[in-house]
Amino acid sequence: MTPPITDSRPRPSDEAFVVIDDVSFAYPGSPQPILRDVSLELRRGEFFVLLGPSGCGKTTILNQVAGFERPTTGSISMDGKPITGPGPDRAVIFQGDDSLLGWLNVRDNVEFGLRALRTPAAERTRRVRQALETVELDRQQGKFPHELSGGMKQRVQIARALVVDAPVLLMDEPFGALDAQTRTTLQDALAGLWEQSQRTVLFITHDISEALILGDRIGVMTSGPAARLQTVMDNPLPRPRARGAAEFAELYREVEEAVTAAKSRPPAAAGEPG
Amino acid sequence: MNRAGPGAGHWRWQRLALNVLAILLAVLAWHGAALWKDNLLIFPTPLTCLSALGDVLSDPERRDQLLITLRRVVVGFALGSALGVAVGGLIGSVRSVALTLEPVVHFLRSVTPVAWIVPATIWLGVGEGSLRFIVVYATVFPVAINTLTGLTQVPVNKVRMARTFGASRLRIHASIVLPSAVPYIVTGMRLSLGYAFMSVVAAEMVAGRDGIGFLIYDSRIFFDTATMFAGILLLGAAGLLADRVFSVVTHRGLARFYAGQVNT
Amino acid sequence: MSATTRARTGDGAANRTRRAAARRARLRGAPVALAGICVILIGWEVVSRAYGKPMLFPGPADTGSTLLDGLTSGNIPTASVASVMRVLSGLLAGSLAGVLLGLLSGSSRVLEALLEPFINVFRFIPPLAWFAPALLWLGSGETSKVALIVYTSVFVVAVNTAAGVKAVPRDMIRMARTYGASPVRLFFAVRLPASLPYIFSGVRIALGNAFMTVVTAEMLGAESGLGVLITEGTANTDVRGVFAALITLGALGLCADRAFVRLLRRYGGRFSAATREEGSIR
Repeated sequence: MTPPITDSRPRPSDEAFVVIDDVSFAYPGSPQPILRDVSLELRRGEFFVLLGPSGCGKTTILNQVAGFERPTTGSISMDGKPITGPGPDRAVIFQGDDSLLGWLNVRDNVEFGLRALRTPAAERTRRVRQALETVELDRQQGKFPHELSGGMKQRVQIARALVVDAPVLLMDEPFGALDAQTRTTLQDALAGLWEQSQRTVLFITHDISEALILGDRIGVMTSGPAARLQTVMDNPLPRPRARGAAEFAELYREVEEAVTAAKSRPPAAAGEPG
Repeated sequence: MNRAGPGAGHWRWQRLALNVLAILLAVLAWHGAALWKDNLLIFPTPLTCLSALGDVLSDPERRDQLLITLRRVVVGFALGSALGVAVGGLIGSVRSVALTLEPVVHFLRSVTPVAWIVPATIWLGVGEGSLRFIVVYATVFPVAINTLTGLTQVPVNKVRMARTFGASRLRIHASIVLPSAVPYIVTGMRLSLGYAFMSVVAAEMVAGRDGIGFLIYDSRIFFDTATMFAGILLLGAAGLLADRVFSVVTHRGLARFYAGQVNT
Repeated sequence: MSATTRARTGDGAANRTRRAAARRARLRGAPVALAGICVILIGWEVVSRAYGKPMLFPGPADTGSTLLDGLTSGNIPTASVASVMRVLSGLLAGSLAGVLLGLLSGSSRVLEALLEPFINVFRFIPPLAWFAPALLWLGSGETSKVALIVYTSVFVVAVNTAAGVKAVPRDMIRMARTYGASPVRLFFAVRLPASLPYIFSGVRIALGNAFMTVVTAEMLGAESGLGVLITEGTANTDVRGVFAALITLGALGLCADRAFVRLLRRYGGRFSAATREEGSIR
C-alpha cells in the first residue's frame, strides 16, 4: 500500500466530532480513580493519538468512547448524541488477538459484523472482498487465526472495521505485541489507508515514534492513578512522514519532554484542573 | 519435557510399547500373586480369567450383555450430555436461574447415582427406565458444571467486539459464547463418559437383570470369580474403546474449536 | 487443558474490590435464590402428594420430619461421623498415593506411559465391581471400605498431579538450574510447590468422589454409616429413610467442598491455588 506522493487530501475539519467532557472514572468501591477530569475533543476526520505510559488509563478512555463502560462523572458524545453503548459507528481494534474468533477463517471473521447487522448476502460478499483486498489478505482468506502471524491478525481486525465503514475507529495499541519491523510496516500501511478514507481515529500507544508517524494531534497523558490529559500537541509534519527526517527527530524530542514531564506530575487532588 | 519435534513419531511407538509392557508386567505380577495365594476361588490366575473371557465371548447370549450395557451407556450419555449443556447454559446465562439451580446442582451431584436406584425403580419400574435415569443422572452434572465454566471463560474482547456490531444477545450466545465453550463441554463429556459406564454397571449389579454389571454380579453369586474378572476386563476394554472413539471423533470433528490451543 | 486457573497476580486491591462486589451481588440475589428453592420444594410436595404413597415418594414435609427424627435420635449424627471418618481416611491415603503416582508420572514420560493403561481403564470400572474382591481379600472390616474410597481417589489425584508437574514453566526450572539446584532440590523446592494448585484441584474432586463412594463402601457389612442407612431403607422400601440419609450425605459433601475451598483460599494464596470446578482428566 503506497501512500500518495503529494499531500493533497482535505485537512481534518475543526468541528468537534467526539467530545469527551470532564470525564472521571473509578471502579465502584475503589478509592483511587483511574481517570480524573479528562476533557478532549476529537475533530472529524482527524487521527488522534493518545500517548502515555502503561497503566495510565488510556485504554479506559477508549473503552468509554467505545461504550463498553460508562464514565463515573462527565459525559461522552458523538456528533452531538451521548454515547450509551457500543455500536458499529465506533469500530474497535483490540490489543492482542482474543477478539478474533478462532473457529472461523479470515473471511468469516471479517464478515461477522455484517452478519450481526443483517446486511444482505450479496452486499456482504462485496464488502468483505473489498476489505480483504485493501489489507492485502485476500489470498489468506481461507486461513484460520492460529495460522496467521501477529501482523496478519491485526490486519484482519482492520478489515473487520473497514467492512462496516465505521466513521470512528478506536485502536487500542494494536501493534504493541508485534516485532519492530512488522510494526513499522503496519504503521505505514495504516497511515496510507487512513489518508484515503477520512475516518476519525482514536489511537492509543506508548510509542512516541508511532504517535508521530500516525497522529495529527497527540494527547499526552500523566501516569495513573487519577490520570489526566497533560497536554495536546499538534503534529505539523507533512505526510507521508519519514522517520529519519530532521524535523521528525526534533518533534520527537519535544514530545519526549512532554511525556517525561507528564510521568513525573503528581496525581491531581479533586477539583484541580487537568 | 519436549514432546514435539522430530522425535515425536518415534515416541508414539515407544509409548505404545511401554503401554503393552505395563500390561504384561501387571499380568505377570497378578499371576505370581495368584500362584502364591493358591486359591483359585478367591484369586484366579490371569489364564483362568482369560479362558473365562473366551467362554463369555463365544457364548452369544452372554456376549450380548456387553452390547446391552453399551446401548444403555450411549443413550443415557447422549441424553445426559444434552441436558447438561442445557442446564449449564441456562445457569450461565440467566442470573435468577443461576442463583437457584447452582446450589441444587452441586448438592445433587455429590449423591452417588447408585443411591437413586431404589427411588428410580419404584417410580420408573424395573428395567430400562430406571437404568436410563441413573446414567442420565451420572452424566448431567459434570457436563453442566464444565459447560458453566466454559461460559465464564469466554474472552471479554470477543463479546465486546460482537457488541460493537450491535449483535443481539441471542447471536452473542450462539455464535460467540457457545463455540468458545466447546472445549470445556467436551472435557465434561469425556469425564461423564467414565461416570456413565460406572453408574450403569453399578445399577445393573444392584437392580438389573441383564448387562455386564449383571454378568459380574451373577458370577459372583455363583462364586465364578474367573468370569467375574473376565467381566471386569471386558468392561475396562469397552470403556477404553469408547473413550478413544469419543476423543478421536471430537478432536477431528471439532478441531476448529480447539484451534491455537497447545494442550488439549 | 489445565485443571486449575491461577488467581490473577497483581493488584490486590482490585481483586479485593472485585470480591466485595461479588459478595454484594450474591447478597442481592439471596431473596431470588430463596424464592427459587421454595418453588422447587413446593413442586416436590405437589408431585409427591399426587403420587399418593408417602413411603415410596415422600414429599419435603415427610422427608423433613424423618430427617428431624434421625437427627434427634442420634442415628444420623452417629452415622455421619462414621461415614465422614471413612471418607477422610480414604481420601488421605488415596491422595498421598495419588500424588506420589502423579509426581512420578508427570516427571518421566516413560513412567507415564507405563501407568497410562491402568489410569485409563479403571476410570470405567465402578467401585462396586470391586466389592467382591475387596470383601474376599480384605475382609469385612474397615480396610475393605477404606480401600474402595482409596480406589476412587487415587486416579483423579494422580492425573491432576501429573498435569501440574508437566505444567511447571520451563523457565522456572531453568532458572533453578542456573543456580546449581540438584534434582532433589529442584523437585521439592520448585516442582512440588508449583504443582500444588493442580494437586488441590484433584483432591477436591476426589473429595466429591469419596462421598459418593462411601455408600457403596458401607455395603461391605458396615455397622454404622449413612450408606448403611440407605441400604436399610432400601431393604425396607422406606424411601423416606433413604432420602433423609441422601440429603445428609449431600449436605455433608457440599459443606466439605466449601470448607476445602475456603481453607485453600486462606492458606493456599501464595501457591496461587484458585481451583476450578471440574478438572480435566487429560
